[in-house]
Amino acid sequence: MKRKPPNPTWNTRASTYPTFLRFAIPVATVLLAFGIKLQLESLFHLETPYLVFFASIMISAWYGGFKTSLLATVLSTVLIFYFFLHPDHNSFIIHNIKEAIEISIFLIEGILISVLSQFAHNALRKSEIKNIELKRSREHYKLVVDAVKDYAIYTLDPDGYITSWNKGAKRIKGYKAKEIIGKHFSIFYPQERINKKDPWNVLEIAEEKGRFEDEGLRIKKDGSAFWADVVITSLMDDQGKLQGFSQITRDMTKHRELDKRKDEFISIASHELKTPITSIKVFNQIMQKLSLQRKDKEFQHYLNRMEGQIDRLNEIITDLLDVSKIQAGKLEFKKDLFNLNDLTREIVEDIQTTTKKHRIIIEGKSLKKIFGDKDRIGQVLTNFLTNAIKYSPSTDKIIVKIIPQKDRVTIGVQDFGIGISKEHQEKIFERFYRVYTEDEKTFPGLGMGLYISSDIIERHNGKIWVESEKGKGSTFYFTLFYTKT
Amino acid sequence: MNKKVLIIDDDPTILEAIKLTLELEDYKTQTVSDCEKAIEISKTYIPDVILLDLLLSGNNGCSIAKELKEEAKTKNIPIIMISAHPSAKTMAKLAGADDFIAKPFDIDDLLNIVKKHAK
Repeated sequence: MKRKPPNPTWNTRASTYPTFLRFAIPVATVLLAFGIKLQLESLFHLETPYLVFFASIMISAWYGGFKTSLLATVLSTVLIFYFFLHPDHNSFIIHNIKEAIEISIFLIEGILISVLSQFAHNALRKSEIKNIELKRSREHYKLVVDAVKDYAIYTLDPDGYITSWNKGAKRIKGYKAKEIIGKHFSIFYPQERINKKDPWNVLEIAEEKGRFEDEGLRIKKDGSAFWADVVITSLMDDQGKLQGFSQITRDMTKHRELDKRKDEFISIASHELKTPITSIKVFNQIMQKLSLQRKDKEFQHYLNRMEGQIDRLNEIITDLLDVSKIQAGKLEFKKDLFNLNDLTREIVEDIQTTTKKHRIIIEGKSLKKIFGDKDRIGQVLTNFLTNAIKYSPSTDKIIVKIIPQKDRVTIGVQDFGIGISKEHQEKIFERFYRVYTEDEKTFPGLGMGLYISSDIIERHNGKIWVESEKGKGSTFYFTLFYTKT
Repeated sequence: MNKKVLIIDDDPTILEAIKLTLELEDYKTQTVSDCEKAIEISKTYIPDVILLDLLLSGNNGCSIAKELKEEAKTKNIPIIMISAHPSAKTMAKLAGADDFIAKPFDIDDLLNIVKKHAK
């Protein structure tokens, strides 16, 4: 069948059909209808109405749309007019009003059928085009995804059974598409995590939050384990109903080797930088003790000032090292179950010793355990508390609120100090962002504490935010979800 | 009778600084920067507390803490780990230490923690 490209202005299905047929079919069917009517009349003396011609109009309409059907209509009308309108003789004369109305109605209905059939043809054409586009885009997508060899990209149904598999998945995990599609994705997890129901928990979290990112061991077809970086994204339809999940897994083995070296370097750098600071601090404090004994106020004063600078230097180095770890994407966490209550109490005790001016009060408690890196979460809390102290120099109270809810716990640290204006609030968790007060006085520090804290909390899949009013104080919050176990 | 503290660290200045701090409070001290010597001296000196730098113990493949805890003569001696690493607290416990103090520290904190374990 010769195919013509669709006419952009009258993009009909019929316009792709061969011209010959679009002409032949109406003519043929009309003649056929004519013949049938004559036969039925002469052979069987049946006065059949000329409605038989409607059949040919409709066939033409079905086949070729408006023009074809119109041709059939016109032909039929002509034949009817001449041969059948007047019962007694054949002519093109209208004898009475009855005949006029009859032929007019026939013509009008024929045109109506033609027009309506055109709409049907257009709709069909549109859906055909859509289908072709959809098919093309599906094939394109499949090619794109399939060709990627560095990432395992595959999809799951809402229950976690594998529904598609790309070349990268075969390369990284070892399974062929044929043998893995239909199996449950928990097959990739180490047994301990299956026992803890982790794969199912992960899907729940991905469904709830839209995505879940995980780093951990995965098992290949041959049983060997490799370190993977996995992102699971939930797929929703227009009504928000879960259709399944897409999963992208990256083999991190090479990365981890490189990162191990980076980690070792950072660890050594940390050690190297902190070692001289340790000695300087100790000697400084010993001298402070001695000058206290010797009642040398002048020395005491200078040594005290030095101590402040040593601590500041230490803080900067710590922050720098943390930030460089974050940049390397490798602020490593040692996650385990721990009690948030106990941690809060510990940290508050420690910080309380650093300030005689502020009283730190804990309100509320949480009974369930959190799965996370205890030291790092402690770091966030410490950061909040030291900020609270730093930015409320003329008040004496800091409140730590522990707010447990069904699936999560929120910790808030409230100070009654200078507060943060709206414009700063948005940026305060960014790297290197420091707040300037109106008189351009800056508070010491590199501006990295909150950036580091937000990285830690986000990588625990939690939330971190601030509520504050300038002049009244600020409350910094972070939320962590309980484990599903 | 004065309590004895063994200080194990690879930096001589730190050894001196900690030694000075402890002697201010009348502790008797011994310092060592070598892995193997450290084990030997522990067995003969039998300190009341051991202060041990984590980097020395952990990452260099020199697992002193574990060995000391396995040795009959030294297994009851409390080991306090010192480290610059922020997550070292958990690592220290895993390595077999009894307590942990972060570098750099206040000398009062050091003295308190030594006092606590040197009973």
